[in-house]
Amino acid sequence: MNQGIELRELRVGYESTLLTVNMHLRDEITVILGPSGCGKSTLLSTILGSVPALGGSLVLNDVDITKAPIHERRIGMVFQDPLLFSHLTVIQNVMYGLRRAGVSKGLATQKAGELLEWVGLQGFQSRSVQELSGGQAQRVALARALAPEPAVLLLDEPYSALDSQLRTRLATEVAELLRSRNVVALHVTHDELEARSITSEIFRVDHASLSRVAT
Amino acid sequence: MAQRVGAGDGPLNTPAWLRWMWVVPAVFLVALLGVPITTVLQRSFDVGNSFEIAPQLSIAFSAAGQALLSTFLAVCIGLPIAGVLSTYSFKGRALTQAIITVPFVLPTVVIALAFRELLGSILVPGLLLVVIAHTYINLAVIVRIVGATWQQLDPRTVIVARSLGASPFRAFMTVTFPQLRASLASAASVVFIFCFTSLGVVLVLGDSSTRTLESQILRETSLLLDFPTAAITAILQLAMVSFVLLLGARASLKRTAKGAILRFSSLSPWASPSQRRYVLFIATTACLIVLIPLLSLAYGSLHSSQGWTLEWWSSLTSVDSGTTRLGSPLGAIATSFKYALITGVIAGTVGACAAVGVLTHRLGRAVALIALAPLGVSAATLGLGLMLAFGRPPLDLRGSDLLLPIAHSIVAVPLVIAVVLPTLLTTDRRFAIAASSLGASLTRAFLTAYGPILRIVMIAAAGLAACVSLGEFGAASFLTRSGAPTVPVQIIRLLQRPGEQSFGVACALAMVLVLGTIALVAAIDALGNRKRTR
Repeated sequence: MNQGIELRELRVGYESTLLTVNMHLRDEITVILGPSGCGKSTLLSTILGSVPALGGSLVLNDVDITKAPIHERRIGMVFQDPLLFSHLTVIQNVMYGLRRAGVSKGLATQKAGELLEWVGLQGFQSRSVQELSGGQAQRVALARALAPEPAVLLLDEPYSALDSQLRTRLATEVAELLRSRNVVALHVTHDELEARSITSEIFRVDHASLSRVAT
Repeated sequence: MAQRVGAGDGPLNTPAWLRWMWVVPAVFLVALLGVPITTVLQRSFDVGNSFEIAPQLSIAFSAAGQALLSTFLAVCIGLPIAGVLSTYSFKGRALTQAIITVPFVLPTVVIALAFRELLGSILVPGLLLVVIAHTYINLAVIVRIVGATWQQLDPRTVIVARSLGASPFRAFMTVTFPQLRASLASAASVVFIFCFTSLGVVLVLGDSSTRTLESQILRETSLLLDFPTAAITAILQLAMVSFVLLLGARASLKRTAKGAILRFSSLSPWASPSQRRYVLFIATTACLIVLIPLLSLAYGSLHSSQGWTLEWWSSLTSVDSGTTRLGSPLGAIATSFKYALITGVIAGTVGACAAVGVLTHRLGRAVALIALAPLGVSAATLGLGLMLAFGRPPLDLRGSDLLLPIAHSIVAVPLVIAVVLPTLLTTDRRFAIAASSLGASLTRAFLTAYGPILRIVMIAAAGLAACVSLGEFGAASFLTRSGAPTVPVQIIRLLQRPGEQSFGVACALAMVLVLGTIALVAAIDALGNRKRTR
């Protein structure tokens, strides 16, 4: 069985920005590097399913998910902004995916509590998300995305709103956390320093395709 | 420590002149609503011992049932339309939005006649016809008020929910709906009150079981000449409406979920084939729902017993059109648009001041709540009150062009507040704090944070107020100058006269109002979109 997610001749983008991608992600964190507007975020949106692919296919654990709806793909995503549900508390945000998966309230609360502890936010459970700093909010977003145990996690410049020192520190920290859980992750950024602090598996958007960056 | 997102608690730190904004609506309401209503009550509050409240209560409860049903249907049909128009960009979106707004601004009597023409052979006058017409008229309220908030929600929160395993419906119920709850409560309470106090539709499409307190007031004043009983009925109506308004306002002031994730969202051009089919289905259905009754009106304006004709349209410039001798229909059109413009300016300014007052002074909330009171006052009572209070010396405004726009503004201010306030309350006040910290004066900081959004919602709200003015009939029937009637008054006068020509010219006039309204709303939308993209 072919584990991980395969992007087979996946064509994404708009008429002016087309990108064709061949890639196989498994048991590792991969970073895609490129300037704004080159199609990195559109690639992630296409993998997530919020933007239709223009061609090619997307195969997850040997199952073609190219046309599957978002909620059936088992792909999580962390955006540039935390996008926390403002009408829910911190722990309710993390529990959201677990409850959708049919996990009982008690078990979801326990798992969400563990995840919050894992991202270093123990004691924040009942807080309003408005009380969080940018870094804390992004950690909650990460815990929320990982709670339902997605097959793949997509990270769309999740630290771009933070200052450079915090950005690099958080990127390294989160990468270690993801590795400790064997999460398959695809991270896009325009910051080469950030990319190198995360992994050696770095690709650069180059002439409408991806090329591996020598490390 | 991180700052709160959202409006925060208590008044903003603002310059002194902004803290006095609540005075504008307060003075407006006391002088132009309080005085006329007091005058009416003084004149007619002399009820005899034989008075019984039971018939009024019976009418009130049956009207409340009818209004609840109409509101429920308007929400069920309006929400999907608001969602499509607020979330997706597609060819014809602005036109669809304009078409949806049209029924709300047309004279209710004209809509009632259109439905009687359309469904009269299938349905007998009664509850069903009344509810259908009310739903039709009030779709725009749901679409406009809820859509204004919906358009600012970040669509990525729904994508996040979907990626966490939520189906589209589940994502809507758990993420989108909680953020819309405040504006939905606000819109639903407005719709309920419109249906509860309906007059024109009930008169044309109803039977004895669908009477409202408004039609009862009209009956008591015009047929029975029983002013004391009419006053009691008006007070009962005011009490019930005030209760609903308080419920709606309470929900609205709770804000669109604390610190909801809001932004000036760009509409999504992206859609899967199934989304595209959904958008096409909703937009097409919405347009058909609105257009079919209007097409029957168009048919009436182009058809006579002899077949197709342009005679009714060519008669618009004639003084004797439709046998009425009260000025040309073209003159009525000019009068209506002039009054609509004045109403837009007055109601937009007063309503925006009331909304800003909520942000800047503790008394602002009380004034904003009181400013919703005109929703509970019968338009006919208001018109009569203004005429009695300001239609004779020492202050005789009958000769000016202000009396009717003032009445229309009083009617429209609650709508302006309903549009402007939820948006201001959900605007992130940290922009003002950030601007202040960068050296901006308090005035500049306020304008930086609230100026852009205030400009957009004020234009939308003033446009809505102008549309209300174009279609209003109750107050106009009391205040219109005999030589310069508004279009709705002219239409009613024509319809009251027998003959094919009267009906045909009335249909042509109604069609002018339809086309003018579409043009007005499309222009407002285009202006709003242009400002938003700057």
